[in-house]
Formats: sequence, C-alpha cells, structure tokens
Amino acid sequence: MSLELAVALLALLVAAFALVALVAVYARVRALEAARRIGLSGYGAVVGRPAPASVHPGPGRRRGYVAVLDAECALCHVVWEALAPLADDGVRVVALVDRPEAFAAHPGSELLADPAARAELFEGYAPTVLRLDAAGTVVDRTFVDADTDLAGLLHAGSPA
Amino acid sequence: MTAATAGGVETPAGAPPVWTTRVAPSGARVALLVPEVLGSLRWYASTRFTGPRTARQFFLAPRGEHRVIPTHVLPGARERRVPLRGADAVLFEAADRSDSALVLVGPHHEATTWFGGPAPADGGLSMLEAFRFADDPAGATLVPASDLLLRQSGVSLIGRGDRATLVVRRAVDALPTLPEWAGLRVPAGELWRADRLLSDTASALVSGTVHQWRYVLAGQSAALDVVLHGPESGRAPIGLTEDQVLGALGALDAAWVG
Repeated sequence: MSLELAVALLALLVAAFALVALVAVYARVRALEAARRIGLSGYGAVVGRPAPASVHPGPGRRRGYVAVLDAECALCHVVWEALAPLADDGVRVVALVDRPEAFAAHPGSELLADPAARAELFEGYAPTVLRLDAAGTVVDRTFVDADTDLAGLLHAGSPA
Repeated sequence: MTAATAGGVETPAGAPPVWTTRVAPSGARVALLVPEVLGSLRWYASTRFTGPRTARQFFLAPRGEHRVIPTHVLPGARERRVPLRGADAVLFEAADRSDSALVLVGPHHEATTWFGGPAPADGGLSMLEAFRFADDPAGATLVPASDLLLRQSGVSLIGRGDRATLVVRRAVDALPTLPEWAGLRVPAGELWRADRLLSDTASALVSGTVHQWRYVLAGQSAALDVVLHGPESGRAPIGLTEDQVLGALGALDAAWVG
C-alpha cells in the first residue's frame, strides 16, 4: 500500500467518523427537543399521561373520575360524597384511598387501596380529583380546597 | 432608627403566644412566636434569583391570589394554564402585551414572577427548569435546580393581617440594615424603632402614636420588621401605649433554621 493511498483511506475514515458523530448529535438534540415537548424535567405532569390501568374507565365507558383521598382529611370525605353518586354505566368513579374502611361505601363507585396507583397519581395533596377520558388518559386535575366549586367541577367536567 | 426605650414593660392580657413554624422559600424552617396583639396573619414570601443572564424575583402568596390578575391587575389578560406535577404554571399576558406574569400554583401556595413586557415565546416554561417548586401547608419552597447556575437571595417571610405587617429575614441578611448602636434588650434580641416612609398627610395622622414607627427586632438567627396598622391605613388606632406595644414586641421571637 502506497503512502498516498494510506493517507486517503485515513482521511476517508476520519470523514466517516465525523459524519456519524454529526448525525448522532443531531439525533440527540431532536430527542431532547421532543422530550421538552412532553414535559419539563423535574415537573413530570400527571395530566396528559395514561393513568394506571387499575383506574381506567374500562370498555364502554366514556369517562372516569379518580379521587386521591386521605381518611384523616375531612374535606376528602366531602369530595367522596359529592363524587360517588356520579358513577353510572358511562362513568367510572374510583377513589384511591389509604384506608377504604374509613369511607362510606356507595353502590357503583369503588374505593381502592392501590399504593402503586396512588403513588403514581398523588401530587403531594389530597383531595385531588382527576378526570380521565375513555382511553384512560388524565385530561385534567384539580386540587380541591374549601374554595373550590365542587358541584361546578364535577358536573361541568372541567377544573374550577 | 433609634433604640426603642421602655419604662415599665407590660404584656397585654390574653392567651400566651405559641410557637408556629413556617417554611421560607429557600426551604429554611422559621419558628415564630407572634404575640396576640399583632392579630392573625396570612403568610406571604419573597425571594430573588440571580445568575448568568438571569435576574428574577418571585412573590409567594396563599393559593388563589392570582385570580385577581385577569380581573384587576391586567383586565382582559390572556390566560394559559400548563399542568405540571404538584402545581400548575399559569401564564397571564396583557391584551396589549405590555406586561405578563407567570404563576406557579400549588395546592396551598403560589409563586408569581412578572416579566414587564410580552410573555416569553415558550410562556416562560423553559425558565422554570432552572427552579424547583415544592408546596407544603407551612409554606412553599422555590429553589434553584442547581446552585452553580443561580444564586438565591433576598429571602423574606411576610405576615400580613388587619393589625400588623411582619417581615422576617435571616439575621445575616438584615445585618447591613441594622443600626450600629445597641437597641433595647428584649428576650429575643435587640429592639429598635425606625421611621416609616409615609406621606405628609399620613405622617400627621400617626404623629405621636405608636403607629409613627416601625419596630425592628434582631435576634441571633432572624430579624423582624413590624409595622402596626393604624389611621394611616384607614384603621382605628391600636389603643395601646408605647410601653404596652414594647411589652408585646418583647414577646415576639423568631428562629431561622437553614
């Protein structure tokens, strides 16, 4: 192999490596941009993401409500009493609670003690009400406090 | 600013104050002993962040105060809400784009920053990556995501009520503003009284009363600035003599931890 041929091959190798590196950097930048569209780092939102399967509305239902409740919180019981009657053939109502026996049972509505689902949906505050579409994606979330128009929230199906 | 002077120190009748703990925006825990004479307080806070190409002030308040922005501050403002984990980012932009505000609304508190012009193209959301917001019933924390990029300063807790306004800062932050001379010795530290910045009309209303002054208490870890609301704020005078006020403020105490 002549010296000229060796230098040419080396140059070709360096050029190929530079091209691969450029493509890799471009792909990484695009991936980061795509990730940014999904959500801010450190603020991964619950809204817009699929809820855990255990609380999905299920086949044939048009939407679902999920309430994250604590037995020790008085307002949580008020929210449950307002939310539970909304359950019907088209709407699934689930409360993710720490102690199901502390809440009043309502036919058609479900009290679940599912720590994994609760951890996924708990945002540091109870009571929180989430609305799910038919596919089980969280479409909105409301932190309920004493000033929240609970009736408006539940019957309009949108956050106050 | 002058050292407060007291003849006989009296404590007004009523239940003894109890220690409460608030969380400052920096995450510091602030234990407070607030005498009854100051009334019940709603807690606010303020903090600044500075770094390369960044200088931003946030005002923290109980949740819900941002609702006045589109009705009273920027009437007709456009509103955009982006749900985040544990909070919502709500962006308000004036109809003529002359001003805009970004509010982080948590379940208990909210943090607001103003842009003084049109909202950033991405609504300020990329800016939020530089901060970490965490809400708690005792106060929200807002800290830099990295201490290497942003420096947090100007952290203060602000208690507002009908009878008084109380500003609490770290003692080391307040030190440059304290007088060189000694104040009145009280159990929690030293107490001074200082002039208030009032209009001539308001000054005339409070002249010769306890409302003429603001009161500065500096302890080992915290400094407190107290203003008693009176006729200058459209309220009735507090009805205490200076000695009674100093007695009440002698029961005031704060400890800043962190």
